[in-house]
Amino acid sequence: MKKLFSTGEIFIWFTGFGLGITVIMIAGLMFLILIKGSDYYYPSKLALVTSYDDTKYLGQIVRDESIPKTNLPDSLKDKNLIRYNFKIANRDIYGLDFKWIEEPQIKTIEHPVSAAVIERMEYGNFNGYLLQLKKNDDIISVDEPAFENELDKYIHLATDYRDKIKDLEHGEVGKINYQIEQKNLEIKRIKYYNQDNLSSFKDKIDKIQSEIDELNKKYNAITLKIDSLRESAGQYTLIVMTADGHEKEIELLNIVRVYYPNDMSVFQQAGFMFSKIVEFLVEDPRESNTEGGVFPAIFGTVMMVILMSLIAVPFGVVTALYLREYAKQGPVVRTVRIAVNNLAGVPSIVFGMFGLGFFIYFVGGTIDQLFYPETLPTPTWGTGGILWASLTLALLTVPVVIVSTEEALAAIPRGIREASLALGSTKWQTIRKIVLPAATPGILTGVILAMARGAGEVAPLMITGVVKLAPNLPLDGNFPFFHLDRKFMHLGFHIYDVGFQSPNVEAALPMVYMTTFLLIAIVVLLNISAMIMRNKLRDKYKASTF
Amino acid sequence: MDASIEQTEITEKTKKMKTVSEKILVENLDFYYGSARALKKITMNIPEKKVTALIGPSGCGKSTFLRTINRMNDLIDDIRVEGKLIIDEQNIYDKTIDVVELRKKIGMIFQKSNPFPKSVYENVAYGPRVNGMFKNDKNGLNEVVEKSLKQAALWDEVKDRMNESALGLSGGQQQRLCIARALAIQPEIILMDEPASALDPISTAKIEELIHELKNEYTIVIVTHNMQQAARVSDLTAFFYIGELIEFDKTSKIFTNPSLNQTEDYISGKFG
Repeated sequence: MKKLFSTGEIFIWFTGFGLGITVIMIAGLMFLILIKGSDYYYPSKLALVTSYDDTKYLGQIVRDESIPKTNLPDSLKDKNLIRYNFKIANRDIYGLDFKWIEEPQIKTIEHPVSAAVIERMEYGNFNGYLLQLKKNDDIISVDEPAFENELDKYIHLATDYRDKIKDLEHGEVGKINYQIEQKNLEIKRIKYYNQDNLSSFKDKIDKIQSEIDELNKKYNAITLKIDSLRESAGQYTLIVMTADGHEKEIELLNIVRVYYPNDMSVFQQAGFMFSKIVEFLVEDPRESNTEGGVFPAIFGTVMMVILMSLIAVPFGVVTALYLREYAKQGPVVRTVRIAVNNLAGVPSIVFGMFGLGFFIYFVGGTIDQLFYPETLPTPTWGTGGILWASLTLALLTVPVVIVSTEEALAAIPRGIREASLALGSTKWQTIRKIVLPAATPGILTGVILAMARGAGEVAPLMITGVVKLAPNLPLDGNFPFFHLDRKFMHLGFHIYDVGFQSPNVEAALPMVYMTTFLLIAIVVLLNISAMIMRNKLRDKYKASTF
Repeated sequence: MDASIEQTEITEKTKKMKTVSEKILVENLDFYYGSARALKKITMNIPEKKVTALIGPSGCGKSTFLRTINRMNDLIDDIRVEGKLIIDEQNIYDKTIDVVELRKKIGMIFQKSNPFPKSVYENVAYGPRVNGMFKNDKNGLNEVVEKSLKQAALWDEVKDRMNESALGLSGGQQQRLCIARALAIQPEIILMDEPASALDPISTAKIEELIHELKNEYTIVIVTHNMQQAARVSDLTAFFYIGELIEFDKTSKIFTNPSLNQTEDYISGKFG
């Protein structure tokens, strides 16, 4: 034992133990999240439960737990009884997605091969049996051999219809709405600025009004087109039956996919998982964010982090340059440095408050009064938006950039600065050509830390521009393409919203875990790419050695 | 008309005179770090196209003195200089002097080789580039780089690896690269601060040989701790002790027959 201490070997164990715990915690966290999120992407088996009173439910067992002893009659107290939480789906019929069933009530549990899960655009999943495929009066029964192929074919057809409708709604309708909005604003502006001699602008206003009418006509034409698309898609329906015999007709237009979880090969399962993950990454959310994908949130998060970095990095680097290279070191600079370090520790909600008060109400409000008085009291810039959120987060992360840049600058050997100055270069030339390139790896470290912190921040965003559902992305095809005044979606807020504010939290849980995993993955991805960049640069600028 | 011609003749003459005599004139130079006086009333004239060695024990002010010549000490906060240091008839501590311009005609080699973390070519081309030489003349720049590397006796070793990082060179090569880098700005004076102290004997020999070559074209001031080196490479030697210039004379005289006992004691190794 004494020898252990004297050789210092015990400290190797001690430090190794610390590292081990950290690695296990990180790996364990990721593993837990993936397991808990598996209900989203894994086709769990459907169980048909028949109870003693002959009611039948078809659903996935989500959870089981022992029944608390206090709830049981004395006769059953010594038995260890279990209750199951079933996801019975069919929200439109049962009202609830989940049902607790206690073990003593259960007569049988089976796994019928023909049981199907139908993912719908509305009302969540439907668990049951397929009966017939209907196209107007053509009826194909499930017993016919052609049923499978026809079902696939018509679901594809319906998906095409749905995509077309969505393209029209998002693309052209969105564009026309945007144009109408702009024209209305133009009229408002003319009216506002020429209140005294409105009559002389009558022609102009009439002209714009006629343009609006023209756009409205276009709008109506497209609406008609959409209606007719809907109508022709509406002739395809699927007739299905619940476990207890309710029949129901579902429009194919409303169906995302149909699968038989009790009858899937490994390949089918893999394909299913792949398509679910793709859907998660590229689709818009449905059913108040509890289903579908999270694409707008990914887009919002990444764009916000990029905007934030574009603001915070130059600002932080320039500040650090002044502090380290130009400012005379003394009590003032020391105080500033302490202040900057402390700024990094201020709770983020405080930055959020500052962003709301300064950027949104003061800066945004002033911009509105100066440039958009015609739309007031409806704010244009005086309300949360991606620009204000990015600025707020930039303020939050700039101390990180400053501190790490200062460290990087301080680590540049004095020798190469002196060499550069001795060659007759000015201080700025030395900084730009020698010091900054050599400090880049260190600066990038700061950028990595800042990005990771910015991407994970939620509290300040909630009051500076994040919403649970943004109708439009902050980047689209309408001039001027970047709409920095728009509100946006964010993965961190998405987790909070879906997990705690959703009307159907239980059903949304897998989604929450998946979103968490994705957010961590994005942060890791951002970090790894920055690290690769840093290591490449570090090789290039590695310190001179003999 | 006549007067002006006469005037030019005179200046020509003085210029000629200067070229055979002093390049750097130091008059009563005092140097303070804060309140600590590091140089005391230094007065010496450093001749052109000769090698002047500065010797003395550590902390005697020889490096400080070397760095006053190209005003490198300006980088340190809270320093003060009194007296005159005249290069080409201008007191370089005049308020009107542009330090950047001054440094363009003085090359400096440091104790620890300090190549930039760039390619060999970029290291040598850096000086001409920042000084705005050969702005649109790639060939001219290439020629200067080649000439400087040849002067520094490095060309043959690096001509095939111009685009590789300078940090991959050996210690001696790095130091010669730093010399080539200093030569590329076509300076008049070269300051060397113990240029061979971190090198092995072979590299040191190469650097010393180089100094011999360079003194035909440049005025060289070298600080060294190595007595033999000072004796081998220099024409004149200045002995510094605790901020004072004790003795300044021809190297041959200092090393064989110094006029002061203090100098003799130091050279013969009795102290220091």
